[in-house]
Amino acid sequence: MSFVSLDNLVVEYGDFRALDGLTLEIDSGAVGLLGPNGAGKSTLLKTLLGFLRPRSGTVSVMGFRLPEQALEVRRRMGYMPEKEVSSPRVSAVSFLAYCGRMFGMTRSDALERAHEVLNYVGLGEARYRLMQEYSTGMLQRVKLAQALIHDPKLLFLDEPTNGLDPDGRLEMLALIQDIVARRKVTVLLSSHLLPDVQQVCQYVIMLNRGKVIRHGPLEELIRPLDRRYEIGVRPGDEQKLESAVSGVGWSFHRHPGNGYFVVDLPEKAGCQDLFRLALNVGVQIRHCVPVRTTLESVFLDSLEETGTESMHAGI
Amino acid sequence: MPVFEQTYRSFEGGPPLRWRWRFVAAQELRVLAVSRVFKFLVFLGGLHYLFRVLQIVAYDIVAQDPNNPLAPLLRQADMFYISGQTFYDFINFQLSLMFVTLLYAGSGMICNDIRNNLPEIYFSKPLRWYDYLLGKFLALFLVGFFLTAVMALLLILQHALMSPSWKVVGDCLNWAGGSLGYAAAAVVPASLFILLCSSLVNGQNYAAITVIMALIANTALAAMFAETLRYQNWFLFSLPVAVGHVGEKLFRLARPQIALTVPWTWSLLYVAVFSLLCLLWLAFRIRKMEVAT
Repeated sequence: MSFVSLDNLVVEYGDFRALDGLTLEIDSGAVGLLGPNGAGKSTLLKTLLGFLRPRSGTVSVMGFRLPEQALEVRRRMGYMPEKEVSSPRVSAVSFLAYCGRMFGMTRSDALERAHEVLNYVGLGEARYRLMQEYSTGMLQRVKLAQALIHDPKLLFLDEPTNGLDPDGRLEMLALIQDIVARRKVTVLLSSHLLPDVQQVCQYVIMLNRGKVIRHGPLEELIRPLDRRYEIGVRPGDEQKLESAVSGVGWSFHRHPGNGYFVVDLPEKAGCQDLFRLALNVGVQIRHCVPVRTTLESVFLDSLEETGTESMHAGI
Repeated sequence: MPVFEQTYRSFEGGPPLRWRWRFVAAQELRVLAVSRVFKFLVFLGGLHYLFRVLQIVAYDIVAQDPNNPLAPLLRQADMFYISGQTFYDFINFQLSLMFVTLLYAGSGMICNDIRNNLPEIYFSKPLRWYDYLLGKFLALFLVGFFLTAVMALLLILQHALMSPSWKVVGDCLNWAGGSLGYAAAAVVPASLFILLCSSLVNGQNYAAITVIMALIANTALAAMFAETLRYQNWFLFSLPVAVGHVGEKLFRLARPQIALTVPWTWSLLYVAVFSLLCLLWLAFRIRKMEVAT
């Protein structure tokens, strides 16, 4: 059974169509929801929580239909919103215990779990301080902790690394990876930061203007290109390789970042032909890997294919 | 270095959830209880209560004791006499304090949540808009009720227990009913209106100012109509006057101060309709937080 199932989902804000006929099945694991600002990522999450009523189409989460069974869904899933959340006049422990009570925990259970989850997200002794004294990074951790308080099997994370410094970002991503790997939680991670999705997710859904423009397992999306190889040679052999490759008419260029040669082999040639050529001219190959497409290039290609210009700054 | 060195336990889910509003109310009261300003306001209410406790002791014990040298003096002093007017005056005084306390406690209850983006968190949990609304209202209602009706009931109980005559018990029951009714007629619309203003504006101070301005405007308009049209019953449209009118009738005061000739049920109806309108508007606002479209 899919965790999330959408069939021809349409959500509108007045005249503006935010989600336009979405049909999707989301299974277990870490799923990335990618798209530029305004693509419909947050709208989709809010629809899955029952905050937004679809104009048409059907939505079911963990077998429960929305919006009719929104309460059942909310009992079983955790949600970390995008916006900064704070309850300034209470401590994180008190806030989390309150969240736990909403799930039907007894007071002592809620308090115990609040401590466990705050330990897990690394808030330490700061958990007793009033939340008005917290930094953005600490508030992000509290947001994640409140989503985990009832041990959900499904977690919606909306831009979880927003406003975090590089260390904080890495820690947050490590936490999410741990939640997926160790706790076996299905995570739907919405982000416009491709590296975040690439680091955490196994499956990617790309949205733009309310439509799915591409989706599939990350491994398939960024699969190795059949005939493009990145070649590194012994220092001093570069000229020899250049002249040999251009001599046989293969196209190549130097990678601007690492200085490796990127060689495109012709249709009938294989990797062994490349090594044979190097052997013939006395070039020692020290690095040879097939070039993979990046998530960024896949995303940009998908945008171009759907005829929409890129309107994203951070991608 | 991973920040997570330990994990958290599994949770199989709690029992079926009922009366979730009580968690909201309890949390609001918990937050209020640590506020110094709130504690000070309640303390002021307590001082007035203590003064009335002494008054009852003076009247019921000292003044009724023929051997006490102060008895004749106390019997002659009107201010120590205990009647329905005593409890009406007590609640009347407490109402001002109750209003200030509710204004402090309630004006930020919803707008601060909205500003801190908390509704999104709360409604992503199994909490419905009516639980949220009822919880907030209940927290304010309990504070207001404690400062007025509960204290008045304690005074009435004290009077019933200390009074040498059993005849006073019947009166005490009437006064207890009057206290409950009068306090409810004041606390319910005040709580709902303060919460409504809190849901309409985006700051605690703005909400408090809106409440005060609306109250002043309401009374000023009622007075203007009454003076211009030379018809005193227009004063009914002032909410404080309508509430006072209800209170006077519930306590069956011998010398009512509010000179309205319309039946007191009209005042009660006005208060009830006002409360209902506030409730509906508030429900609309809060439901929109949970279900945006």
